[in-house]
Amino acid sequence: MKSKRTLATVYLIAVSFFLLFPLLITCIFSFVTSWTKLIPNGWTLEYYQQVIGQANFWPSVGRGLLISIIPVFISGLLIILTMYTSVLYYPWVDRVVQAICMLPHTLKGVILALAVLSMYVGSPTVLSDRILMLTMVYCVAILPYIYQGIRNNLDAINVQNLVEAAVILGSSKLYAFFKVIIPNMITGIMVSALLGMSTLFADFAIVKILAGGKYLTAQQLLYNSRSMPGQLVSVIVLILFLIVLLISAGALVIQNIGKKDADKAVVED
Amino acid sequence: MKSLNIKKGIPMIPVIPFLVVAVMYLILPAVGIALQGFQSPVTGAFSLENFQKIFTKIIYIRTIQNSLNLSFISTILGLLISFLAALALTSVSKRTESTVMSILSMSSNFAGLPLAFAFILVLGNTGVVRQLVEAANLHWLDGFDLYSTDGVMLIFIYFQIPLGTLLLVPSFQAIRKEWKEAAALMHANSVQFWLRVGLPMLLPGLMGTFGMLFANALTAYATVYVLMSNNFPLMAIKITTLFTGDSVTQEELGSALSVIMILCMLIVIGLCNLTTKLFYKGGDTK
Repeated sequence: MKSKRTLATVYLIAVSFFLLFPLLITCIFSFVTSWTKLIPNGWTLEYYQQVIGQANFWPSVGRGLLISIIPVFISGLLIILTMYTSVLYYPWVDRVVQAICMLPHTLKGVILALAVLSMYVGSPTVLSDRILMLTMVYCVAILPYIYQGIRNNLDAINVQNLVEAAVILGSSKLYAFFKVIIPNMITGIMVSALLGMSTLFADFAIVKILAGGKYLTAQQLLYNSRSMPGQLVSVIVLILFLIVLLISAGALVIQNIGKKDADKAVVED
Repeated sequence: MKSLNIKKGIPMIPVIPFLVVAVMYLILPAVGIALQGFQSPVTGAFSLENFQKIFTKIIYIRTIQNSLNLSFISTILGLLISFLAALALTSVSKRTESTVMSILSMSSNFAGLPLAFAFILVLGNTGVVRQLVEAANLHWLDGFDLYSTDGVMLIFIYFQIPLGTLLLVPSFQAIRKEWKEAAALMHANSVQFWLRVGLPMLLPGLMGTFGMLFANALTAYATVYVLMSNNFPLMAIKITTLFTGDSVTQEELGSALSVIMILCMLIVIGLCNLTTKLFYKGGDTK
């Protein structure tokens, strides 16, 4: 038993080492002047200053965040609206919505972007606008995550009873949905919104295909800086990774708070 | 009668925005790609010309082979490492477990472009580790070229591990200690337990994870693009150049290749589900 545990620990240390290694090296590399011997030749914060001082760095991070927040918001809204109908009136609507929301799983990544591009690029209307295409493709791309997140949350609360109770107490169904159901789902909505956002912020393929040079996000800035000094690239890599990490960590924190609240509610029952 | 119908229809109004977006940006484009794949680039009429071209020209055959090879091998290796990691997680201390889980969920966010660049910084032509190894007159990395199938494979396996392990951990948690004790009481050894109880119980999780990892590898674009821009024959890369290439675009051919890529994915996921159905012994397969 003891040896089994040791073996398992050693294996996990090896896997963890493999996973942390590129990250660790990138991190150290971002602080060095040059690195040719085992111990780096010198330390500096110069590259951080350069990146942070770069005129278009923060704006491109901002653009990256903006183009990930807006689609998440739209997607969430679209799905909540369908849930209004499926929860309060026609349950079969949910099956249709679910089937549609799972489609982007098979049309992953580049195909959806290319399909939308080839369909609307020649349109004389606003539909050929690259930013609009990008926003809408992002909306669709995260549908599976947003749907699943909201759905799980909805399953966890007893919607029918809550609505019935509200209606008996004299409120309208509409009021019950927005004042009782939605507040109960807010944790789940926030969690899936943040996870969707971190996915979109990390995207490069779709934005490259649809927006090209027209909308410079942080990921594209990273790509464009590929011929710069390695330290500079490593600083950008780290900052972008940290942003994604912070967004998903935010989701985890909210989820845990939600869980604790739910546990408390159970105890109080 | 009519007013009754209208009344019945009013609750459907909130669904309309969703349907409009889904039709315009998901269903129509998907149908468009599927139809375009069967369209002759010259006449525009229905034809199998594109598929014929793909399956006779060596460059396209090589592209499909490369994609499938890379996806299968990286998925199998990634799944194996993840499986052992999830298994190992069941027998270590709580503290080790939570540390490893944190590392896994952290590195699951390390993907795409930043990941590819990190590998270039570490193992690329002027990568730190490569320089250090060479400076020490060691030859560990002599046969390894990051800008080749090996490099792409390594990065693919890297991003499969956290994803695969995180997906498998819940399946392992579902295997109860009591079952092991019950099996031990009936004189089953550890190997017999895993072969007859453990693995069949894990099958749905394993197969689901296999499908997920395979689809991820098959459609990965950014990593490969950073390493080799458009010069590496993989389906996701080839499809993109066929649609948006600098010279002549060949959308019909690109569409046909997209159809093939989606079919590959659906077949693999379908086979995974079928395996689960055939061999799962946990009763309710849903």
